[in-house]
Amino acid sequence: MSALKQLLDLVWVDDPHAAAPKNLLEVQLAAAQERLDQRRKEIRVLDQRATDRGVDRIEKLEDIVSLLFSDATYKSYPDSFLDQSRWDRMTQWFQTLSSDKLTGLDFSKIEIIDDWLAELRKRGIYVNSSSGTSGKNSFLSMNQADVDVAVQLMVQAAKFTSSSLREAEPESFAVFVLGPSTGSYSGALRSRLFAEAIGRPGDIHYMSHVPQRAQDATDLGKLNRAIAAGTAKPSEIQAVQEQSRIRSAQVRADFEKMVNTFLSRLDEPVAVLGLSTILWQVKEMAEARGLKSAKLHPDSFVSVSGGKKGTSVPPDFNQQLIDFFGMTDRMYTNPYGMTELSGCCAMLPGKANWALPPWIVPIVLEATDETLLNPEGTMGIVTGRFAFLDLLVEGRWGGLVTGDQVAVDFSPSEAGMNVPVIRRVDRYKDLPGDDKATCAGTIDAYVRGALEVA
Amino acid sequence: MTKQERPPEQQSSALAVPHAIRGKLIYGSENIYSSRDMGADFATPALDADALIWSRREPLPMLDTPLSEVMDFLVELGQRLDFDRNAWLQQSFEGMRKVSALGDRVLENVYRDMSFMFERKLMMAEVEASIGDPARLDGWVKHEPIGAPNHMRAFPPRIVHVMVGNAPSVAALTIVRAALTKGVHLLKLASNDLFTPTAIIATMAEIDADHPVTRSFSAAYWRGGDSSIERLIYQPQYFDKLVVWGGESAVRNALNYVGPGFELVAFDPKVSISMIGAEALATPEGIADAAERAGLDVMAFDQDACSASRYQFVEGSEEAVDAYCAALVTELGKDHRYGNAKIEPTPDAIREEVDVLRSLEPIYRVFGKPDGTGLIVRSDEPVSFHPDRKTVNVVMVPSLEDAVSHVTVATQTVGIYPPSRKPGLRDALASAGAQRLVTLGRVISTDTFGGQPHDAIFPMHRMMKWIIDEGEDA
Repeated sequence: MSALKQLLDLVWVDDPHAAAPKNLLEVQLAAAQERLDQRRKEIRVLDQRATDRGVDRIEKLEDIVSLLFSDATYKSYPDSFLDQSRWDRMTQWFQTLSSDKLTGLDFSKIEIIDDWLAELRKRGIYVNSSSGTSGKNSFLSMNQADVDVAVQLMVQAAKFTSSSLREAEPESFAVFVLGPSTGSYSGALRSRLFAEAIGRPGDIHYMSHVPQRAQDATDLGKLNRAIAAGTAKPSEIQAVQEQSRIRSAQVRADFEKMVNTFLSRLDEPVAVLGLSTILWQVKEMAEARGLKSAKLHPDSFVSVSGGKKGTSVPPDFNQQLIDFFGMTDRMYTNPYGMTELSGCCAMLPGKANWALPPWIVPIVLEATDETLLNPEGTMGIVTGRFAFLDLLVEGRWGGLVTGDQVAVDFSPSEAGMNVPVIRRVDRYKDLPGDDKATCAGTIDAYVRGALEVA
Repeated sequence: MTKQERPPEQQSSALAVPHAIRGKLIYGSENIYSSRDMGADFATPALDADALIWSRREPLPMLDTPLSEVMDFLVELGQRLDFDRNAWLQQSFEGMRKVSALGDRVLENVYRDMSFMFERKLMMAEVEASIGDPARLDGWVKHEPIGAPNHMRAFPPRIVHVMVGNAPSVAALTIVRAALTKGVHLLKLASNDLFTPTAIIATMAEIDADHPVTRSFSAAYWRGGDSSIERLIYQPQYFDKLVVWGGESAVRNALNYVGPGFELVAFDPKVSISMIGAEALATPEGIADAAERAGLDVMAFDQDACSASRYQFVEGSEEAVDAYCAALVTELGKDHRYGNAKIEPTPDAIREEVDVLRSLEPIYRVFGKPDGTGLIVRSDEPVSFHPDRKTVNVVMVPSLEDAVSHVTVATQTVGIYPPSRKPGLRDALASAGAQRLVTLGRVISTDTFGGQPHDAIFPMHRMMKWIIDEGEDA
């Protein structure tokens, strides 16, 4: 059996961490070779990188380090392609990073980016996007296989952590999704599929039914560039602000309705899915209704995740949420993941620690360069920049350097942990930086009136 | 090194960074910092906030020192800033090797060149252009704009200078201008130049530790944005102005403190560009000449200066532009007086974007390698990333007049070639936001000090407190 198949089969077991092979790294390196051979033929940028770095064989982790992409790769399309609606060029760009052939798109039907995303979706290509701090969206290709496996991975990780989910009858929860019901990017689809996998049909509630349009962020980026270039008129800035305000008000009204329903159903088991920062807003809205706490039914299930995301939540906000909603280890999980991963890393019950599933090859790097900190044979805890090769990903190359600082334990003592465990996660942008100063700068410093996407 | 206390034996592996308080060097290792970028830990003395300010109740040291005496002192200082003989500069150089990315050869060139600013005729030109009659610095001079009997003085200011380290010559430039104002000056050191300002102040003390000029300067390091120190001393009772040399976070941070009585003078973070007309690329010789000039402008402090060219808007056929790009990448691979043939490899973020653009040929074409010897992306629209670390975006334009649409309020220097294109572009460029136009190849020039505006202001003029005494004075 191929090494890759051996690891991919673990997607369908209850506890992939216990089922991981004893010679995990060896199997992972062999599987990485299989993936490289396959993807080089499909992804031009990967092939070029492998050629430039002279990597044909993956024999050690360092060989993978040479092949990692970052956020920058997935944001590398020129803004002008979007500003000038050059969907042919945008497709050409996206093709250089996608495994699947993107042929037969009808460009005449595409006006805005949501049309482009819909055209791709018709061909089984789902685009995942994250905006990050720079405000520029990244675009990552997922195909049908990625979408299908994502649901299984979310459920698998959630069941690993939460005994209340394991013990619940199938499709038994009233589900509250802290996100929109529809959107052009695949993020909304992933949450909907997760909700439908565990929820009672007809009893799934969304934060909002205002569709998450990709064009809103694109318009905003375009406006910001126009402001920078000095071509935007004050009235245009005002119009976009007004549009954004109206949209936020609609989202807010839907959200208030959902919170009312949620608070009225605390006496029965519910499932809550979404971002921790949005759950923080739920807490604030409950407090505004005079509640000192909103204890969930003991058979409930909560999966929230994500960092502070640039919001001003207090440092201990996760603990405050646990206290406010009376979340027990049985019901609560806060998995570690990101848009760029096929699934996520399951939380160890009751502990802010996360198991790295066997199809993720973890790589820890120096903060500022490509020095590998976890060569073969590493034991104990290693702290540095998190990078990985996700062997599951089908639609694109799975190797990525992240913006997170992690402490990874390569010899965890917990029973059944035959995989490395992440002991701590910090976002580099939240850590104190250097104040090396130069006089050189960019137009970004001059753009005020730049708006956030609601 | 005579009157100064000698540095104590190094106790830890951290680099010792002395402070200067009113001209006197202070050693200590109470505070340890780690410089994440260069990987060097460094230690400074504890900060004594009281020692960093000059009380308004005591007279300013230079108030009654005639400008001619200040200049005499500065001329001597300039003569002593001789890298071959000045132990302070040599010691500073050793420290800089650990915190600056410029490399030994360029650093040494900068140290050898910076004393030109201490020439009397340049200093006088700076004063005359910024202040007008030099007597205004020494006392109350008749000022009768409408015939009324008024007196005016360019009164010495109290200034905190937030320094940058990408071009160490900024230390000399700041100190010359600051001394000519006859005010008091606290230099907040940058982590990529922890030494040059202090070495110049130490050299002053070697000439005369009690000289009013020496007593008017302090230099200290704290982490930029450290509110525990900044909220104490960034007060109008202690200082009139905050001069910030750049860095977006430094400028933004400074805004937390400006208010009535405490003014910001910002040399804003900037981008610089080049514009090259088709006529310059008409012959192989022309292409070689333009590439050599453009190379000089890119290589300013390894492209880490605000004046260094990053985007180049070029007219001409694709063939001519590609020939120009090939010639330019060769220039970037050569040693320049203020730039290195090879620097650290291109940062991953840029390299990755360029890798993708390379695969989009012919829309984009990439010249050079991401190995620190120079990288050029040729395109028909500016790239979305910030070209840095010897990366240049050559943008083909139908005409230079069209390229003006890419000039913004963040544009500092525009290098233009041939010079005959300048008159037709000047007003449009200035209107769009550009602050300095040069003939291509002159981004780094000794003309930048000595009566020239900088970032669209006369810095000395902005530093002074212009005080009027209206009516008769007797």
